[in-house]
Amino acid sequence: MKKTTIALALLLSLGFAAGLAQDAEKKTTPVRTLSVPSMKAHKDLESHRVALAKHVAAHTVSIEIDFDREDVGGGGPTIPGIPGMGPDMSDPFFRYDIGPFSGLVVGPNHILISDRCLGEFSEDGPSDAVEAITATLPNGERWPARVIGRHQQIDLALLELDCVINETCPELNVFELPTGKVELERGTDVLVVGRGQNPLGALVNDGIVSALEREGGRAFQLDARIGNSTLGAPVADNNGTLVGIVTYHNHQQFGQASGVSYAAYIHDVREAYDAMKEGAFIPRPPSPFMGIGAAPKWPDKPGLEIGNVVPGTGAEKAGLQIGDIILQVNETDMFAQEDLIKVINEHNVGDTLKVKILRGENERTVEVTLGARP
Amino acid sequence: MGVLTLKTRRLQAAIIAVALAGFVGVFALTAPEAGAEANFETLKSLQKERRSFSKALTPAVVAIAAGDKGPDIGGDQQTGLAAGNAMAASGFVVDGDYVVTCIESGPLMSARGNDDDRYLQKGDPVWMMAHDGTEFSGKVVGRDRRNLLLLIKMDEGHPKLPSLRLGDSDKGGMGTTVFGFGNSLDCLVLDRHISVSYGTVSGFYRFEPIDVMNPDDANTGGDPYKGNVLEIDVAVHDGDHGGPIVNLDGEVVGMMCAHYMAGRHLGCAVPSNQIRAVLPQLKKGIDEGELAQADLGFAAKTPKGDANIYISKVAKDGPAAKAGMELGWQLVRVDNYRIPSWDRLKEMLGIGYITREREVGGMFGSRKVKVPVSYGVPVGTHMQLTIRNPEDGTEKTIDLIVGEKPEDF
Repeated sequence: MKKTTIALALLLSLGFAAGLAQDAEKKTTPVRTLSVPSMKAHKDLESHRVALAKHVAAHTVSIEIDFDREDVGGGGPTIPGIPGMGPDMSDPFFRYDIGPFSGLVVGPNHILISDRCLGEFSEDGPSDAVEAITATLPNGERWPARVIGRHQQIDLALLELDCVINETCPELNVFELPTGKVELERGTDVLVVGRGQNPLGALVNDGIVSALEREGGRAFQLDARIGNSTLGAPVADNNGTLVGIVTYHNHQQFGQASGVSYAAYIHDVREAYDAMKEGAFIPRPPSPFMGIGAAPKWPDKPGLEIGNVVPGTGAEKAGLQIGDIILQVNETDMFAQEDLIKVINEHNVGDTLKVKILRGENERTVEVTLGARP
Repeated sequence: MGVLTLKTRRLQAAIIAVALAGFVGVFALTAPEAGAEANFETLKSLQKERRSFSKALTPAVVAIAAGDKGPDIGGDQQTGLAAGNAMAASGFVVDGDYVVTCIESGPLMSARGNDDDRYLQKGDPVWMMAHDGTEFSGKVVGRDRRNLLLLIKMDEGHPKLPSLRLGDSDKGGMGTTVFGFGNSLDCLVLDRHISVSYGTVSGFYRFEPIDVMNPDDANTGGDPYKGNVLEIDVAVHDGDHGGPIVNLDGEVVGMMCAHYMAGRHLGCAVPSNQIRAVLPQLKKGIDEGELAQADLGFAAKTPKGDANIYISKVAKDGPAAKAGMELGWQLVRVDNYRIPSWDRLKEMLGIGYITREREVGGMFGSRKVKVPVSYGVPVGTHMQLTIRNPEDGTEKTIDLIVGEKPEDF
């Protein structure tokens, strides 16, 4: 009797539990959706931006550059998902040899890109390591391209499509370079429209002009996010006027998520374009070089002891010797190597610096003429 | 530590607010005349809209962490802001009882191994926190690594939070305005505020389907995630992963996701169309292996003695046919990437779950590790295939939207 009661109770409770479980599965919370406020002002803004992006994107192409990996140095194999197992990510030029990069159509068969994509400079055109350049047009057509000019001071290179084989060149949408002066001010809205990871899709980033006259007046700074593939992308203002082209003058900023990016001024771009059309190859200005290696002698007072003197440089010609202690350069105290580098970088090749040294017990001042860094 | 963090965060909020205001001010379409009294009406209306929008959508966002107890908030561990990582990820409510989040969020993964066992499994408990600090629990009911997706069902007695609608991620375009909501660097868990960030859709693409540095090297692979990426310039930080990216209509167009992106510090999101395609199956509790498979709607082959890949079959009314695939043409590129070999094509298209054995070198010698090179392409993915007419060499690029394999397959 007892047993049956227990069994019955057990059965009942089981059934009850099962029923409960079933209920729980069936029970769903009624869906409560949110009432979204009107976003009319934002939508106006959005439609303006989308239209502008479409307009600019029609003038951009994607550029792939194939390098001879032996010349470039190549990269080790990457293992997705395991950071650190591959090429050095902190290397600013990592991936520069694969692209894709952005290019801007500025003439019937002329495409501007950032010179940085081409690697080391050689007199006769692109570097020896460049094997092939391919441009992917917005309609998906792929064309071989070649370099016809380089301007490293503005960080631009000019490409043209190699249409010889097919005899007919594709029709490109030319983005007219403004002829008048384009006034830029900090706070001006800019839209950067490049070609992205997938060369068939555009990559749009907006921001404002953050600072002017950077990099010796050759570039302005903007806060739009710039990736590798938007290098060479056009920078347009609110009216759709071209105001610049993305370059990386300060490439060390890259890779640190700093959001800092640089663009060349459009008047510089126009000048560079005019020169490159005629086949100009303008190298980077030589950097000034003194020709010594020096380290601080004392922790608390100025003095850099010369460790080596490079033969044939201005330092050797001026008679600087190993063991001399540099006290002042152009009347600035020398506490650390950085002080010396700063003074040298403030001058150009051919300038003369007054170097006050201590040799043994004697102080003397010699004049050193800066040469070009070999 | 706590007080300091709170202060820092307020300061941070103030900075963000100022930055936003500045941005809007300069993007105003009616720029004030030089010298004239500045007109801030546009700025004000934008700000007003943004404030009410942020307020309205916040209740649908939750913080989420693995386990049933949640993170040790009172502990003396480094906070998210200090360490740059978060104790909890983000998620958003859909269909009343469910929360969508990202399977690759740090707080939802364990440190165990490299493989599948580091992700949460079906039935695992999770801890969640609502916008007002209410803590509640849930269980994993579905997972889909193809979409980097984890679906949670909230346990009974949950605070009945409002749901977000999934919008059409194909409809918006590049340049559209979006908002991101999340537990950015633990701002919800520690300070009871859900962060909102404002930005633009920058791009829409797939990651490299193969290793572009060494496309011919059979030992390397591309990104195992084969779906599309919505690139956004919304600030995505640790703790935001799994949070919604919302368009101006308040619809979710993407889920923010942590992802391995070499050298590109950009926010990325899984598009909502991919999530919507798999959500009903996950809600039913279907196991990951049993989810509907992707269907491209074409077959290809390489004849003996010919290195080219030819389209040998195009299913009637299938995804390929709709995209304009041509029978007998050669398949030459996938998303503009050259196809190195027949084997790699499967990987590039994302046909199923593919792993590769890799040698991982270390200080104490190398060992072999199985690394996934494809989770399989999700339904709803856009891929661009370039085909060539073998007769005259003309090329055509088609936009194929991956469909779902019919059940009676």
